[in-house]
Order: sequence, then structure tokens, then C-alpha cells
Amino acid sequence: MTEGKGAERLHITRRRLLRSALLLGPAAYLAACNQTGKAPEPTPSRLLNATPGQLTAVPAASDLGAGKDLRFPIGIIDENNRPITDATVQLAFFKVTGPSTAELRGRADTTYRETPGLEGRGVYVTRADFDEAGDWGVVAQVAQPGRDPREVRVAFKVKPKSSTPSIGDPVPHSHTLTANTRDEVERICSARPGDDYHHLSIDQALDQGKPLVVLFATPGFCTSRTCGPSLDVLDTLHSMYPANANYIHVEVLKDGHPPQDGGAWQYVPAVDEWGLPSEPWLFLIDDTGRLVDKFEASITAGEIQPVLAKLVGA
Amino acid sequence: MQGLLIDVESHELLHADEVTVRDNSGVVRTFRVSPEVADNSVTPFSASHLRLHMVTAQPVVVEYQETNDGLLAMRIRDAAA
Repeated sequence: MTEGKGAERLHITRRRLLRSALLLGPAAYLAACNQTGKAPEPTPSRLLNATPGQLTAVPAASDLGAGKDLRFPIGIIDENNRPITDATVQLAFFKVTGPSTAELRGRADTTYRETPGLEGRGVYVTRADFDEAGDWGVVAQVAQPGRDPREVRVAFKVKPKSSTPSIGDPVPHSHTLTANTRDEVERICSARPGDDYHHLSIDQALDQGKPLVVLFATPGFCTSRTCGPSLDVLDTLHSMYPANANYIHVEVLKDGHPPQDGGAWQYVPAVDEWGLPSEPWLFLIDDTGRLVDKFEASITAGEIQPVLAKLVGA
Repeated sequence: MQGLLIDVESHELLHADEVTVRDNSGVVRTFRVSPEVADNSVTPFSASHLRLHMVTAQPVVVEYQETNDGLLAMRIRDAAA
């Protein structure tokens, strides 16, 4: 993501115009001005490109903090509100650098990753460097078979530091619930049947000095059907390298179920300790207890396996 | 309103602050999100669950009220794909 750094700049008169032009395109910006007499406030929602007849880009990372080689998943929706799954998508990342400028910080190819269990649904994933916090924009060039390439733009924010552990940082030594018998597991886990990844607490696993794979997910209560498949992904990874790492599933909901009788939602303490803004998340940790990589939401074994293979020395 | 979530803003796992939905004709609306959306006993939609719908492009139905502060989502539920 270093190609072209600083080589391209966008020059416009005001920050508002910059963000609108970068992310909506000049025509949409002018249309908004004509209707209201002034540009709308540039909230992230209003900056989304969702004009009839156009593509929509949906950045899928909820916890981007400044850093290098970070996972950047993005969904592309067509003019009929259907996800595009057959395109070649190239991304150009811009940093908003001032009131009237944005700077190209890099370009990247993507790989389409279909969400397990959801045919025809998925995201385009790349790795990128976001070397400073603040307002960013991405321009996606979308080339589908038999069609002229199209372009879509969208804004996103990069925080100074992610709320989840940063790559290279030590992970929290959380004490998570453990269970061994099927009955015990099903008291703390929403999966049915309960899975086999509750024998160790995170802190116990870290003390073993062995690579660790941790999945935070609520497989039993996810009607989007992405948490259940994420448990399948953990199964797949475990089957590939059963002895080279420890594998833990942390159920997100306290007691493994949603509130009953109108009570409040309760999460296990590790959710706060790991700073999770969403779920599911899968974390890869090395034998010194430092984070190697992290994967949010649309989790696939194909994307994780090469990283895990390197981690376990396979 | 029925459509795809194209933005979910939240500061926590449970309650979303704001969602943006695009319908099949391209109309886009942004809603503030009532706590009732996550606390609904029949169809609870946490911020995390909303985000999953967004990432996987699964449509939702938003029931909302028009208020002096804009549109307020009161209930969100799955829509037939």
C-alpha cells in the first residue's frame, strides 16, 4: 500500500466540498446544493454513495485503528440492491489531509470472500496500511464480466487505536468460563450441540506458551447465520492443525442465552476486556501472547489458514 | 421502509446510534435508533446484529417514527431476501 504515496492530490475549495466530492461525486454534491441552497453536513451516513442507478460501497470493518497491514473488507451493492460477487475490485485509499485536500496513500487488489453458509453474499478483502487516524476515503474500481468498469466511493474513519487489541500487542489475560461435559458446555454456550472449545480459559491457554485461536461468537442466536458458520471455520482450522495451537470459543452472551422475561442483555466480561464493538471476531495469538491477526464478521477458513499455518510453523 | 443497511454507527455491542438504509429504488434514509430496537423482546436487533445484516447484505424492515429530530427507528426486523 505504498505505491503512489503522495503522488495524487484532490484540490477543492472547502472541506465539505472535498468530502462530498470525494465520496458522492461532483454531480451528487451539486444536486444536494441545488436542493437546499447549502451542502448537507458531512456526517458519515450522508456521505455514502447511494444514488439511484449507482453502486454502493459498504466498508465492513467496525474497528479500524491506525496501523499497518490491516484487514479491510468492503461490500459492493449494485443499482438494484443486490450484492456484487463476480467483480474484480481494486481499491485506492485517500487520506483527508486538510480543509481542501486528500492524498492518495495506496492502492490494493482485493479477493472476494463469500460468507460461509450464505451463498451469494460476501465481501472483497484486502490488506492496507492506515498510517494515521482521521477521515479516509476509498475509491473502488469495480469490473464485472461483460460490463464497463464502474467506480464507487465511500468515506470511513480510522481511529488512533482500535478498541480490540492491536496487532503486535499483548492480548488480555481474560478468565473465561470453561466446561468439559456436554451439559456443562451447554450451560455456557449457545451452540447446539455445544462445541468442544471450552476446555481452557484464555488466561490458562496463554500461560501454556502455545499459539492460540480465539473465536468470540454467539452461534445459537444469530439469525444472520454468520456466527454459526464462524464456529464451523474454527472447526476447519482446528482439523488442519489440531496439536499446534489451542482453540477457544468464547460465548459472547452471559449464560449462553439472550435476556429472559425482558431483562437486560448481559455479556461476558471478556467482551469488554477485548474491546469488542461487534461480533463475531476471530483472533490469532502467538506463543508469547501477542496478537498476530484479527478477523471480523465475514470469517472464512481460506483467508485465515495461511496466517495460522505461518503462526504454527506448519 | 425495507432495504439494505449501508451504514451502522454504534459505540457498543448492543445499542446502535444510527443506521442508513437504501431501498430497491435507491432511496436512502438515515435513522436514529431507539434503544427499543435492541431491547425488543420479540425481534431484538443489537448493533452487532445490525452490522452483520449490513456485511452480509441481508435486507431489513425498519419501523420508524418521524420526530422533530428526524427519523427514529423503533423496531427493525428481518425482511424476506
